[in-house]
Amino acid sequence: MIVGQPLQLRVNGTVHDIELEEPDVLLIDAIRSGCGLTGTKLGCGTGDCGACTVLIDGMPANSCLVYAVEVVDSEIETVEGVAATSLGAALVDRIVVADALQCGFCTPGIVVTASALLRSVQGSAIDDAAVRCALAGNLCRCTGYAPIVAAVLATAEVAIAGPARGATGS
Amino acid sequence: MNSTRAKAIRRDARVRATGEVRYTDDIVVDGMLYGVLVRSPIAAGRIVSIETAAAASSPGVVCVLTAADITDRCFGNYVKDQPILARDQVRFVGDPLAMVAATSQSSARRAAALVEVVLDPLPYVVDLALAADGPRMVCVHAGEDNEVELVTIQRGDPAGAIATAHTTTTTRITTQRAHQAYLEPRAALAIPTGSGLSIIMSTQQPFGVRTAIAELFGLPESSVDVQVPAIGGGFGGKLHLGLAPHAAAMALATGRPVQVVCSREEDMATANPRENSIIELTTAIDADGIIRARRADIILDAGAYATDTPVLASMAAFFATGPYSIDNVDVRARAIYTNTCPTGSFRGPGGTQMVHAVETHLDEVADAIGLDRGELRRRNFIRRGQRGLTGELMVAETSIEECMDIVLQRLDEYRTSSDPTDGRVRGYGFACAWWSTLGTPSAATIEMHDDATITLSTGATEIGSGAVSMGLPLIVADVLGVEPDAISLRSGATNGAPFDSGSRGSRTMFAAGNACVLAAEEIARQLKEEASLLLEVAPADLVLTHGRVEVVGSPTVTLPLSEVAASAKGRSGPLVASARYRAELVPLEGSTLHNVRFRALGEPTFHCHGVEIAIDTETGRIEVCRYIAVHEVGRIVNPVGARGQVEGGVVQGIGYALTEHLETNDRGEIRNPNFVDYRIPTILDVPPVIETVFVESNASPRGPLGAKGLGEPPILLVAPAIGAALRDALGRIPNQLPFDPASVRAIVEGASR
Amino acid sequence: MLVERSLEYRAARTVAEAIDLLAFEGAHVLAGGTDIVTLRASGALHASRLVDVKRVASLSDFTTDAGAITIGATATLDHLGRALGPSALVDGARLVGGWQTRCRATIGGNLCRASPAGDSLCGLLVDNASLHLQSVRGDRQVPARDFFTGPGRTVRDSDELLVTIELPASRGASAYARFTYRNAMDLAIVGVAVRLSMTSGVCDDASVAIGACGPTPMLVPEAAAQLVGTIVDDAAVAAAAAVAAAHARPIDDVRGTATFRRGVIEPLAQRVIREAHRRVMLVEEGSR
Repeated sequence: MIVGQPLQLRVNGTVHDIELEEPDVLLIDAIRSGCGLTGTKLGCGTGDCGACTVLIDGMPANSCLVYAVEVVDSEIETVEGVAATSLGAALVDRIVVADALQCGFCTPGIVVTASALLRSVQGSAIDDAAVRCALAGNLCRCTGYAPIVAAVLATAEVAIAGPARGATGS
Repeated sequence: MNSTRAKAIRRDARVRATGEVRYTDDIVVDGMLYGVLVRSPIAAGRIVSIETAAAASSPGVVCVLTAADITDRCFGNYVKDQPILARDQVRFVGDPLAMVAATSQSSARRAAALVEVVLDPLPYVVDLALAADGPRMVCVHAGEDNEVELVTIQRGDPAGAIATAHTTTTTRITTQRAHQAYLEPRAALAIPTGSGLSIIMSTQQPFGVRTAIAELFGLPESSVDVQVPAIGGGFGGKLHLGLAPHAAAMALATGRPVQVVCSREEDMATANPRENSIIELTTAIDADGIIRARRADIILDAGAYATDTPVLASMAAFFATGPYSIDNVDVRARAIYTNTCPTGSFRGPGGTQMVHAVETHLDEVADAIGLDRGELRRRNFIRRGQRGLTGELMVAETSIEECMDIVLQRLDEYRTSSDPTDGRVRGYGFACAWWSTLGTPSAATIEMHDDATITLSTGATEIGSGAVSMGLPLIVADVLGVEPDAISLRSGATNGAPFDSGSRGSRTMFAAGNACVLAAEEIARQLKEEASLLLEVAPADLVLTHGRVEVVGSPTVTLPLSEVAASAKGRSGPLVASARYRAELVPLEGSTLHNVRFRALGEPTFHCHGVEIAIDTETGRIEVCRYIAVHEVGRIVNPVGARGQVEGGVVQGIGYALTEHLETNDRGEIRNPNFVDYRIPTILDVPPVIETVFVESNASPRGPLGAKGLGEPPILLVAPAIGAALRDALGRIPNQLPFDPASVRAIVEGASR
Repeated sequence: MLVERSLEYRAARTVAEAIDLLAFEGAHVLAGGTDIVTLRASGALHASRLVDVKRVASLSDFTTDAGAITIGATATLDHLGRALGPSALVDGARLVGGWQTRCRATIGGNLCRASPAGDSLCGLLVDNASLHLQSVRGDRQVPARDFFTGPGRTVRDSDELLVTIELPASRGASAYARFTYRNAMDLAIVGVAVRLSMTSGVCDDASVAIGACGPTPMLVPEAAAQLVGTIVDDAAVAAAAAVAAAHARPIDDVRGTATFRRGVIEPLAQRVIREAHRRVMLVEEGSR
């Protein structure tokens, strides 16, 4: 790509033209500044906290460890997109009901990662261990994690039983 | 109301989960510049020169400031010792030297790297014991003693009691630095206004920031306002001015808004972590297990500037006895300067290491006289009518024994239901503590509108606990007999609500809640006054319930609040009330206090935690298997939020006990300024269940709806409970925190030799 | 400190295009990026051209042939962890970072990063992997055991692209485990991989590798020799683990002291040998 040319990023199904000052602009900066989607949070910048998690072609990734130019051919989903899917909305509901957040800074990343997990199991049962394994890269300093696990498991139950199943958001 | 409370949902939860809510870093205003600080690479040095020309001419740069360009006033909560930018000398690795404001973050970073600083290295001291009691070769502040603060508490005749005691036991414990590790790094945005400044900032204490910024820049307090967007965690680490002075200085210099956001590395290396400390405790005890005297010598590392360590020294001194009655006390606590990053409040400040030290020490005392650890505590618990170490009278029942009995029973069940097949050794332990609820000033304003909806204005800060967004509306709803949904909340800005002392000291629900109760009671009085005229019934015979005014005993004689509110406005004026609150100062008797800034619990709370751990004796690794947390904090207003405070605090305590250690090397550099080597617990590092029990037998007569404070206590007991479990399994424990695998393994090897 | 201004980003679609782009002073392969982004930001790595190889479709393939497995260099650790059965390599792949990191990080990137603590590396050593490197100058096979030369250093030249990792068909089973302070998101304090093959209950071949115990992950044939010819009983396990620990040359760093590392390697090695033994016995039973 050529610096100065707008970069086209497909985020939550919408194409955004992003002006790059440098070729190594990070995906998180392109999303936050370029697309104006500030639900994706910068917690550490080294891939150690998960607050900046987005989906790249359906798989979770720390957007602080990806250059925007790497994903021009990819579908990006941020928390704004994920929360607008029926599965994401069901998960947000369960997080609210379970009081699974306090300061909320880590929560968008958790919503994104947990949605990827819930989609990947496609309505089949998941257990506590699977949830914890998937969310190990999402640090939370406030809650102690228990209500987060409960919220994800409760969403999985709804997804198995209910109409929210199969939401893909793409 | 309890069923309503159990189901109540935090009004700000959804927007936080979806990412819609704005944190400081999410806010961009027109013309905004980005500020970056240039920091000292060495622990101490004389500033020879700072060359800024190259930086100033770098693309996008609007201004570069050094100390010469800004006010020479210093700031500090208790000691005004900290300059915005180092003037003649740097005192820690990370001390700010210069700052750059530019049109983009990357331009500012590039330019900051072009600032050429020449420093002449000076002798420095990073070791706390050396700085406190070593040969005084190195003064962190030239010509001044390294002792920032000396606190003493004396009661009775400790020397005499120690001289005549049956047994005397001494324990020496060192504790580590720990970072609050809030997920949102510190951030501040300063916007010049016609007459002053508007600060948008992730802070726990906006009114404190307003006062300090006004003073620092010589502005009237009324021309500075501080707005608090969502805060991504604080835990005490955002009580300080943080980056506000820097953003403000750049905003004033450029006339443009300036935002400063820390990187994680910068935050870990230059914010204000929990102070490391050295604690020596001596207890004299009789053969019958009655404690006769306690001596304590406490040294806290203030780092290079005092911040709030003077009050932390008082808190550490205060918590040198714990919830036990001890007639003879001799406590000395000092805060000491070192050439390291300044330390400061972290949840349970000054007390977390003291609870660990006191409980660990008591276990050693119990072992020394061959008494059961629970029984030793039971014989010495402080009771109603007795006085604490500063001479504070226990006016209410103390419920610590009730808390401990619940834990002891549960630990028995853990022991008998454990079936370890994994080869690891199990240990069981518990710890006890008391804590306070800070009753510092707060105020609230409540208006009831014609349709009986309510606007509640509070200066209290929503730190994430839900105490403001959920707790305060619940309290007002309870007094006025309405649903919490009827209340709209105005908070988070100093110009939109009256004063509050900030989110600290487990005080928000209690102190801001009391201001809300008082304001709501005045609204209730106004409503009843009007309704009594409408219904021709005495105000005393009216109650507010279900959104209506009802006559006691005649529930069919009733008016909707909307009718009363509209009528009141026409007759005597709108329904509006402001109220202010400050807990009464507690009388003290019989102790000699020197420099004691934290003098009384005021509203004592009682706590006991118990734990089952598994120890891998080959590697020294500890896993927390089962956990019970019992708290007596009066009546629980918000059960879901209260449980969240306990679980979150316990997990932070697990980090403090096992893996969190902000390490400073011998050059004064932080060795692990990141989230991979500063190890906060992940979702795979916590026990699957933390049992939370609230003992509600002891409602506070002074708290809103009988509540006391809960924010801090859950972190206090984790390290000593785990330590006790380790002692249960291995017979002795490391005398320093954290209990990392290397130190546990050393204990195992020592024991097997 | 600063990111150099003259940076060129190029995405290759084929191996041929990639190696052409790499034949350039200052060119650097960009695979998952999970290390490169932070290394560049901290100034530890300089590149004037980043050659993104993730869009080379053939590079992420898996193929199996009579028990031998060929893994494309850009296969992600997440993919690897799900696609293959239990082995030292898979154990290691599943331990790296969080799920987010494993979805981006590639096996080739983990190898070429050559961290002494890299979790997939010991597994490749005991599995006797062979690495296929290609450049405009030609191609070559390098055994994994000859690949690492120091922390962050390998025999790969800067214009060479790691194309595939070949795991020869072999009997037996392998396992890897590491010691960390947390259960996730940590870097190995020490790591151990073991491969065992057994005939009629007697070990006929073994391999032991240790990580974070020296400048590179390394094989300890002397430890493996303690297992061969035994029934992998307690005595043999203890002897092999003791020898592995004796060969460790760990350093003091922020993650642990050399003394502590040396102390932990022995019990860890015992556990990994036992796990490999458990797996190999399952295979043996399955084949009967």
